[in-house]
Amino acid sequence: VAELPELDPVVHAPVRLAILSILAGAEEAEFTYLRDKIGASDGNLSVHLSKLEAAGYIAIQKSYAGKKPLTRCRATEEGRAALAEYVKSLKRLLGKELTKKRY
Amino acid sequence: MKETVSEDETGELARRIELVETMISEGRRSTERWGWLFVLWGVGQLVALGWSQYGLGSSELIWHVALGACGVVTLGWALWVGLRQRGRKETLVGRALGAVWWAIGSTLFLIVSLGGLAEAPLLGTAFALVGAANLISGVILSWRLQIVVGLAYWGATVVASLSSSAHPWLIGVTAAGGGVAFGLYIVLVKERG
Repeated sequence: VAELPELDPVVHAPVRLAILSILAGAEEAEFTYLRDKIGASDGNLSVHLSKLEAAGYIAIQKSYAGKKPLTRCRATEEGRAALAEYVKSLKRLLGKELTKKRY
Repeated sequence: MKETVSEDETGELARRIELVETMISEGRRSTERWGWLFVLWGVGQLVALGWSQYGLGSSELIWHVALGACGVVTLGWALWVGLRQRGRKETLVGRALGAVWWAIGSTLFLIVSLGGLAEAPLLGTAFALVGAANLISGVILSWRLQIVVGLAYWGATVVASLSSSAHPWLIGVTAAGGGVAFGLYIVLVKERG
C-alpha cells in the first residue's frame, strides 16, 4: 500500500483553511470581511490569523481609516503554495472517493 | 505516514475540499452589483430614442441630456462604491473589469465630447467600443453570453456603416437587448445566484 501524505496542521484547521482559501481568491481582504464570510468571532479570527502569520502564510497590515483601525490580510507565496499542497494531499488521500463524488 | 483513510475521515476530508472551493469562489465574487447599470444605459437610450423619434424636442439635446444623466449616475455610483470598498476586498478580476469599462467608457466620452464625427461613424464607433468592452469582459469571466453580446454589438457596427436608415431601430435593438435584457438577466439571475 502506498504511503499517504500527512496534512499541514497549520492549514488543516477549518477557520485557517477558510481564511487561506478566501485570500487565494481575493488579492487582499479586510478583517471584518473575513469575519463576516467565515462567521468567526473577532477573538477566534485573530488567533487563527496570528498562527497563519507566524507560519509565514499570510501578511497582515495594520493601519487606520480615520480613527477606525483597519487590518488587511493577504496570502503570501508560501501561503498559496501551502494551500495548493494541502489540496493536492487531500485529493491523494481521498483518491477514488473524490472522483466518485466529483468534488 | 498513514496508509489508509477511514470512512469518517473521508467524509471530513471531502468537507474540507468543499470548504476550500466555497471560500475561493467567495473571495472571487464581487461584493458590488453592477448589472443594473446595463439596465440604466439601455433605458436611457430607449427614452432618448422614443423622445427624439416623436419630435418632442431637439433630438441632439435629448440625447445629451439622457446619456449625460446616465453618465452622472454611473460616475456617482462608481465613486460611492470605490469609497465603500476601499481596502475591503480587491480581486485582480474585479480590477481588470473595472479598468476595461473605465478605459472604454472614457474613450467613448472623449469621442462624443469632441464632436466632429457624423452620425454613422459615431454610432459605428460607439457600437464597436461597447462591443469590445463586452467581449473583453466575457473573455475575462469566461462567460459565453457576454461574448455573444459583444459580437452582436460588432454586428451592429457593420449594419450602422451600411445603412443610415437602420440607425433608429439599431439603437433600439441594442439598447433593449444588450442593455435592458442583458442587465435584467444579470440582476435577476446572476447576481441573485
